[in-house]
Amino acid sequence: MSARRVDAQPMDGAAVDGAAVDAADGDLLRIDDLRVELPGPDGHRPVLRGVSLRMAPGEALGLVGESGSGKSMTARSVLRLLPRGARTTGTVHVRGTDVGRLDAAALRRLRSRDLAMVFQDPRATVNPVRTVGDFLGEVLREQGHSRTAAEAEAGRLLAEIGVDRVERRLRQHPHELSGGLLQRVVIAAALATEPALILADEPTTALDVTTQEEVVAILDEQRRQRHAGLLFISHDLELAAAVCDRIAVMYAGTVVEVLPADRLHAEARHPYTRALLRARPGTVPPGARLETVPGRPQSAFDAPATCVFADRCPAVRDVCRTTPPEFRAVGTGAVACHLVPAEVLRG
Amino acid sequence: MAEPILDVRDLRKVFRSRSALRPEEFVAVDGVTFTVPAGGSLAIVGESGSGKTTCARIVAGLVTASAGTVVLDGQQVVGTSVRARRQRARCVQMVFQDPYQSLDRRQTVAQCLAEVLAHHTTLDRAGRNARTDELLDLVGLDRSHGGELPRALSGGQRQRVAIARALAADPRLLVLDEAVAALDVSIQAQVLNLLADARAATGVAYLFITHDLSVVRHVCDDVVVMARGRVVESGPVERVLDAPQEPYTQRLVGSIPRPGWVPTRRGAGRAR
Repeated sequence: MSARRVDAQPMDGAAVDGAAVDAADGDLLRIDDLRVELPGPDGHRPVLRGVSLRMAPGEALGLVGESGSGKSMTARSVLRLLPRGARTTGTVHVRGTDVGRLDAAALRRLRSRDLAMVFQDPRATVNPVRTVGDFLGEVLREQGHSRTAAEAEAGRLLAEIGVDRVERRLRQHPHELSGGLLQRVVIAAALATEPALILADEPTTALDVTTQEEVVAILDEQRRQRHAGLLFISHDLELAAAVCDRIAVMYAGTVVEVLPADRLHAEARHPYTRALLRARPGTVPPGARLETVPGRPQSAFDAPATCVFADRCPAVRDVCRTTPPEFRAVGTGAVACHLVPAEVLRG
Repeated sequence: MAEPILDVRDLRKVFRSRSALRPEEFVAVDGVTFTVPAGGSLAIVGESGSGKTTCARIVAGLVTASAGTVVLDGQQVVGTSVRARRQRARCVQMVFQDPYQSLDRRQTVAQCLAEVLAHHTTLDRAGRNARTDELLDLVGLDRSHGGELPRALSGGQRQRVAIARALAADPRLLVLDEAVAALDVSIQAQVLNLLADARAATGVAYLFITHDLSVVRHVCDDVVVMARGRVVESGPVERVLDAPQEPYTQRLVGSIPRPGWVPTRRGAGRAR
C-alpha cells in the first residue's frame, strides 16, 4: 500500500473520438461544479450541490459519506446514468472528453470501453439464467474477441483474480456461487474491458469481512497492475483509506473535505470528517460513550444553503449560517469550512 | 457470576429439505452452549452461514431446536402453546436488522407501543400513555413522534421505535439480531449509546448477534465466535478479540479495516 503509483495513462484515441478533446487536460476524471436535481412530487429537488473532483490517471479516490450524501449519484453522473427527468449543470470530463456532450454511440463506447462499474449486489448485475461463462463471454465478444478466444480469455481472467476450478465455474450459474465469488466474477468482467477508470459502488458491503478483505485486495492489486483509476464508494472510512490514495468526504450533496488517505486520521479538519472518525466503535475505550453528531444525516435538499453542516456542527458560528464556505487547499488536502483557521491555511 | 438469565446447552438445529426425491439435511447449529448472566451482554459473532441467527431465533422462540435445552430465567422453555409463547415473550424480546420491515406501516408509533403494553401489562389507558412517553424518552425520541407513522421516520428513528417496542414488555433479555448493521455510522453511534443507557436504566441483558467486531467490543462483556454451526472460541471480549487463540478468530479479527490495515489476498479458492 506504500507504493502510491501515478502512472502516465496511454491515451486510447479510438475511444474518445467524436467529441472535443482538450489535449492539455491530463486528468483521468474531472468534475466541475456538478449540480443535479431530480424530479419529486413537489418539483425538482437538489441531490448534488456543486461537486468538484479531479483524479489523476491510475489514481484511487475514495468517495465516503453516509446515505443520501450523493456518493452514488456522483458516480452515476460520470456514466450519465441518472434517473429520468434529472436536471444537470456543471461538467464531467473523462480523459478530456466532456461526457455531457457525447452522442448515444460515443456514450455507449465510453461506458463499454473506458469505464467499468461494479455495484454492491453482484446478483443484480449478473444474468441469473445464463452461466458465468456466458456473462464474461458477452463482455469479451463485445471487445472484439471471437467465441473461442473469449472463452479462453474468460478463464484466464478468472484464474488471475484467484478463482479456482475455472472450467467448472464458467459452466455454473450465479445461484451456485457465493456472493464473494460472484463479486469476483463481476470484477473480472469490469477488468476485461481494460478500463481507464473503475467505478466501484460499495462493492463489498454485502460480503462477510474475510471475503471483503479478499475482494478489495484483488481489486487493489488488479487495478494497480493495469494502471486503472478507481473511484471507490464506501460508507466505511477505514476501508476506503486502505484501498485509496485520496479520500473525498461527502455530505448533503457536496464534497466537504479531500485529503490523502494516509493522512486521514492525522489531518482531518472538517468537523464532519472528524465526527465520522470518532463515531466508530473502537475509537474509544470499550464502555465509554461514542461521540455522536446531533440530529441525523441530511440530504442535499434539507441541508442549509450556506454551510451544509451548519445545523449539526458542534462548533458552528454565525458566519457558517450566512456565507457558504469556500473549498480551500489546506496542508495536504482541501476543506470547505469557515472554522479551519487561517494560520493552517498559510502553513 | 450473576444468576444466568439465559442458559443454552448443546443446542442443535437440523434443517431438512422437503424434497421427496432428494432429501437433504443441513446442520445449521451443532452442539452450541452459552450463557448470558442477568443484566449481562453476550455477543455471538460469525459470518453468514455460521448459525448465529438460528441460535437467536431459537432463543426468541421463532425456531424450534432439534435438540438441546434453552433455560430462560431458571425455567426450561418447552412447547409452542399460546401460553408458553406469551410467557416467553415477557422474558425475551427481539430487535431485527431492518426497521423498515419490522414495524407495521399502518400503525403509529404510540399505537405500536400501546399494543404491546395492553398485551403484556395490566396498565389502564392512562397508564399505557404515560408508559409510552417514558419509553419514547428512554430511546431518545421526541414525544411528538408518538403520532407518526413509520414512513415519516428515518431508519435510525425506526430502529429506536423497534427497541422501545421490545423494551415495552419489560423483558429480562433482549435479542438483537444485527440491530445496528443497517444504520449509518453517526446513527449507529447514537443507537449504541442508547443501548448502553437502556441496559443501565432497566437491567435488561443483551444477546447481541452481529458480524461487526468493533460493535462487540463496544457493547458486550463476553463473546462467542461461531463458524459453520459450531462454537470456535468464547470468552471475555478483551481476551478473545485482543488475543484470539483460534486461527479462525485471528482471521476474523485481522479482516477488520482499521488505520494502517493492508488488505491481503489469501490462497485461491478459499471462498466458496
